Amino acid sequence: MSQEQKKEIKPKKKQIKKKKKQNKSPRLHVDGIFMGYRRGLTTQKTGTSLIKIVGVTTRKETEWYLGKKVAFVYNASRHHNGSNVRTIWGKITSAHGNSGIVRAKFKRNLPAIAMGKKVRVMMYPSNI
Amino acid sequence: MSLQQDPKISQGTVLILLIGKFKGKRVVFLKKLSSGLLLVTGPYNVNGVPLTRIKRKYVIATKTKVDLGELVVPEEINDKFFTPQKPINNWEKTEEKFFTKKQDLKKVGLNETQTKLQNQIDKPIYEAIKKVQYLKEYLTARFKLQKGQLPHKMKF
Repeated sequence: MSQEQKKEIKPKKKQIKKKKKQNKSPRLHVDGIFMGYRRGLTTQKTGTSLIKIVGVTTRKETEWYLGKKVAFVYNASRHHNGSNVRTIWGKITSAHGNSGIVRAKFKRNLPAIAMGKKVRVMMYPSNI
Repeated sequence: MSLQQDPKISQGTVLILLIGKFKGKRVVFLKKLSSGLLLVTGPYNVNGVPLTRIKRKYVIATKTKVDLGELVVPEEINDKFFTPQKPINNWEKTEEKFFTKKQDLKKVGLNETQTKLQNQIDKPIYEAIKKVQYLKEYLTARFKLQKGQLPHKMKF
């Protein structure tokens, strides 16, 4: 088949222009990653989670974030009250080590499947 | 409830709301109510935020301040002003309410006194805002964290 014949057979793709959402809700949180649970080499304490906040690399920088609320946001298949988005709330309790990692306690412990997933560190309760 | 003076927040200070329907909006602080909540207004014609009250911990105080002079907030605007009006006949327990869906519930709009007070407060504030260059645009714009911006390194 010649190239011209091949072009004729392929159907043309419709260019669907996506409308930009106006007045999108502003981002008022910092992204973090759930690294894992507090642990020694062989045992882990699932009550406390370790969170790596983007841009925080030293223990001194974590001071600002202590006490702030954290949310793990995820989707479920069942809709409840019009939405299938669910959250697990928690708060940052203390620093962990010297490199900016932070400990957080959640109302319900984070599921292991959340490891490596994003977590939202809110800017409240604020004392600025 | 302690009514200690917060050194960062005084009448006219621009606050950033962190929670609720108006999150990200920059509003003008009016006074601290007896319940400890902060009374703020957009003003309404600038950014659509009416007279509302919020907790101190859900707010970021900025250095920017609107010069309001000695603005006296009417005594009528207190905690009672914000509590919802109770229905006359206990509607919550009637059959009608049982069969009404959440989406179909009628929203009670502002009554005359509320709109009158809103305009009364907003007028002098809007006059003060117009005097400063770019302040109106500043209050219209919403605060948001952009890529690379880290709140622990920012100065508000």
